[in-house]
Amino acid sequence: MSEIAPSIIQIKPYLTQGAVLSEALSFKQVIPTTQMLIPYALEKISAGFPSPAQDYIDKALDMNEHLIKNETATFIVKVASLSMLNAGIDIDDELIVDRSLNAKHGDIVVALIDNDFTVKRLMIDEKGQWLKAENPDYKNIYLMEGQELIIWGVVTCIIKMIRKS
Amino acid sequence: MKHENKVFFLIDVNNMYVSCERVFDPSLNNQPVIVLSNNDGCAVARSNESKALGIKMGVPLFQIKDIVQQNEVIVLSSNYAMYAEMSRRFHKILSSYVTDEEVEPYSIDECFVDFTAYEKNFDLEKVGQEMRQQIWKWLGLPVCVGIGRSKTESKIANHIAKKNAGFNSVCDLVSMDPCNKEYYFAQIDVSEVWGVGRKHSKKLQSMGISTVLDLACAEPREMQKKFSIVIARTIYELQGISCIEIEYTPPTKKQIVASRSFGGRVTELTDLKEAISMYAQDACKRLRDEGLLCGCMIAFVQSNPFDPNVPFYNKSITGSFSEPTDCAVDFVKAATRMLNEIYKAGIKYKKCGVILTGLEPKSGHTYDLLTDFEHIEKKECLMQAMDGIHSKFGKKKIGVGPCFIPGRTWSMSRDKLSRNPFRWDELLIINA
Repeated sequence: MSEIAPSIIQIKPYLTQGAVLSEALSFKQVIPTTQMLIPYALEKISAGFPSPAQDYIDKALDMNEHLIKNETATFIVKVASLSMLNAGIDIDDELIVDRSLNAKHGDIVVALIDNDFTVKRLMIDEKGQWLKAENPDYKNIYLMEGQELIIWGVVTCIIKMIRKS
Repeated sequence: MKHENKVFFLIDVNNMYVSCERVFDPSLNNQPVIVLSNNDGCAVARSNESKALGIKMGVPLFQIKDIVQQNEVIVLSSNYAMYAEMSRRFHKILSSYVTDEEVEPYSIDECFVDFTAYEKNFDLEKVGQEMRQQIWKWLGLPVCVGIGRSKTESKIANHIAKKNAGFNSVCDLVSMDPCNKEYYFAQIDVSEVWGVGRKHSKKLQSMGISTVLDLACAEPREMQKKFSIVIARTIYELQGISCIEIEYTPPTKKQIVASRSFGGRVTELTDLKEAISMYAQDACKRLRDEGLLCGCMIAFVQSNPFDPNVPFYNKSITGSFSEPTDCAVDFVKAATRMLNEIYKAGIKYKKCGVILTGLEPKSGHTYDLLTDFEHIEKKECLMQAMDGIHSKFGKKKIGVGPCFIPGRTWSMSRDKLSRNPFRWDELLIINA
């Protein structure tokens, strides 16, 4: 008896697995981003026998994978301010913002003060939290009584188009 | 199929459309906001501040003009593309808590999670709080979480969490003391129960069943005789016995509806034909995406139902195809021909559209003996070429008839449309 029972049990999950698979295939997932794969030549100096098929064009570069660690929590915003110029953020640059990250001292953040957006460097010291502008023409932001600083997200990357069209 | 030890979560975004708008426009925070339906007709989402002003769900904008003006209510057009992307992320976060088979995206802003397998290893309320905090941090969307032994109970739990601030947005009926549970059940109107609805609640009320507690205490078999099996199941569910499983696969489509109301009033047949040919092509696109064939089409036209001065004109007509099809040309031809039949001059039309029914998977279709395959193949080539152009250059670059040329008299009005921050040319702008 004990030898017969397991084979039935083995078949059962196999059957349900098949059903799940076919249903999963008919279910269309929405993918918000396109992927552009750039072939990547992997040069490798090997002492043994060369294996050209494996070493050449081994992996494709995927910019999404490279730049975005957590797709679900990532947003892209555009900058219209010069207040972070010395941090390399110019007008019309795009920022990749990851909301899942916990902002640390020194992070560049998109923040809300009095329900207005701003991009600044987050500073945490004995005075508490304040926002540092990276441009001498702009003022740092210190919180006034009753004002609240809300971190909207942490900037992880600047997208800068350098060839103006 | 009754289970006594299941655990369901129902996670629901508070005022979804308004909350989505606030993520990208924080100046809307703490302000009364409403979002209008397509064509800026009715309020389909309201912030708590707007609810407090007495603005009801689904009310046409012209009926609340005074409230809107006096209280400076912010009125927005619905930005469905943006809400859909936020919804996708919302469901994706929740599916990370369990396996794919244990999640059921119930609607754009609601999601069931079957947590039965993990109950013993977790504090359910803590998990609920974790979900809530994660969705708030990652997406900026406020949610309420209801936890119960059945889907119906989790819905009620969610309702309790929404209405009672003391729960901190998470209500766990699984671990709640039965006396407390009775106390809350006795306070909620029976019409709030999932699946009861307004129609049944009147009849229930006449039988002295007016609260959730009354219904939960009713005798299921007796009630089945008076109503249906559905209500018996609901009673079991309220008693903590699960009868309704998670449906993790979306059921195959039974019909596809493509319709929209017009920006202005449309009176001319040619304008209506242009509009309906666009909706027919929208419907065709969705049909092809699902890999289906359509055997039957319904075309309809409507005047404005809210206009008290003229009688409501509402006509529809059904036509079937000799051979099931997924070709846009067939749909446009049929829709415009059917429109000739239901068009009446002198009516101010507000809406028209098509419904595709008689759907079947294309892969499973058996063609009959006399099928002209050469013709079908020709149409398929044409459609593939069109699909290719659409995916490469956009939906409006090629179509049947003149409907995609800009500035049509019938096109939708969405005056207060926010930007879609998920498009490169409409990104959120940080200007400080």
